Amino acid sequence: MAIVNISSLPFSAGEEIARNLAAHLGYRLIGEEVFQEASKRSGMSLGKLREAFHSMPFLFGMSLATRKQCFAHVHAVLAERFLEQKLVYHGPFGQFLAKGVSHILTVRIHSKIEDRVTRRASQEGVSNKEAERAILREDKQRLMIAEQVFNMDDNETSHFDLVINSSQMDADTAVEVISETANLKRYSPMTYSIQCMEDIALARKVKSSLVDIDPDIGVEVNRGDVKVRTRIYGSAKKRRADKVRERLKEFEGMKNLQVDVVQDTFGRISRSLR
Amino acid sequence: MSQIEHGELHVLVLDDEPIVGKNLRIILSKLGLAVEVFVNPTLAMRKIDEKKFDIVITDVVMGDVDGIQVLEHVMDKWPDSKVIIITAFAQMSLARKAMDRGAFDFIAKPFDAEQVREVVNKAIEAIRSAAE
Repeated sequence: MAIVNISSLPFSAGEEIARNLAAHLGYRLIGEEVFQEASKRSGMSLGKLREAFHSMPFLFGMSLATRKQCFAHVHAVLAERFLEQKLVYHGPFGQFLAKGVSHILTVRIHSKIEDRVTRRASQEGVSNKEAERAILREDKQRLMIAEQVFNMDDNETSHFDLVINSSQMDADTAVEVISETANLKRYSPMTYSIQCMEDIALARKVKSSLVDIDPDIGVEVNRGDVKVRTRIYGSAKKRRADKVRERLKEFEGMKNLQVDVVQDTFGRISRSLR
Repeated sequence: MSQIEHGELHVLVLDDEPIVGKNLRIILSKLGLAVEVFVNPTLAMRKIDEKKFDIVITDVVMGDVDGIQVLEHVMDKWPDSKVIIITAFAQMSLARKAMDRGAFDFIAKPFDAEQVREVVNKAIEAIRSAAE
């Protein structure tokens, strides 16, 4: 009874495979609802949240701080969903959320570029050339966003338990392979892995509530003990610590709180210029 | 779940730290289980060869013999037994390895009494269902 966390390159038949997999396993399929819930909770518009996940980072576009806030809100909702059982998630950047949780099967679906181009051209009624241009642009966007927000390479396959090449395997076979893998004992939830996911979910929830104070705020949770690490420039360390404590007063699920405030003048300036 | 009278269910606890075995004996005895505690894995394995334990709770890092070897030995000899791994060195790869080898559950140290009770009660339920 794993959770299947699917990240697919656009036009790799990922959506079809995710949908058929959920039906085959009798699992709930989630994707867009995560963004909708995040929008409702955070007050940020759905459009803005989607923009954070898909728009090209550039100097006059969405600021890095805003992008990180959007990710924090979406991932807080996604982490909460991952506390459920029997779930398939299909969406971008999910592989960076629940690393180390043994009952979450993380899958990448990709295709040869030619097949993705053909699919896109057919679905959107555009020429192959236009389709290819759009795909290459969006692939570049995806890599830049991953690097900017997570400092990670979205193409790195070591983030995934299973990589499916849908150019070599039809959707039905892909569903069979994923569902057989998901049913292996190693992907069964156990006390330890459930605890790991609970810690991650609480950490993401805490981060989401603090990310407007510091978009780079670090939150770690170990069985309800919350450790917050935040950087400031200037001399307002105590004020920052007090603000965090006030925000987290009586936070549900939190047993203890430790706040570390680090002075970091040059780091903040250099990050804002990226 | 309240205390269950299961005098006929036998549990082996193996941990090279005596305090862990002592604490687990207290928790499990209150559930009405017959508990034998070992700190030496070699002696524990010999006992497992002689007698079936319904539940085996074992640490992982214990010197020459590790808990995964104990797990494999139990699964080989008594495949119906439920083996629960407890370890201070919990990580995803070890957890998956334990489950692959047939572990019933995997708990990270430090554990609390409620966690252990919950897992052991699930193991008891699984044993009862299999017996019906």
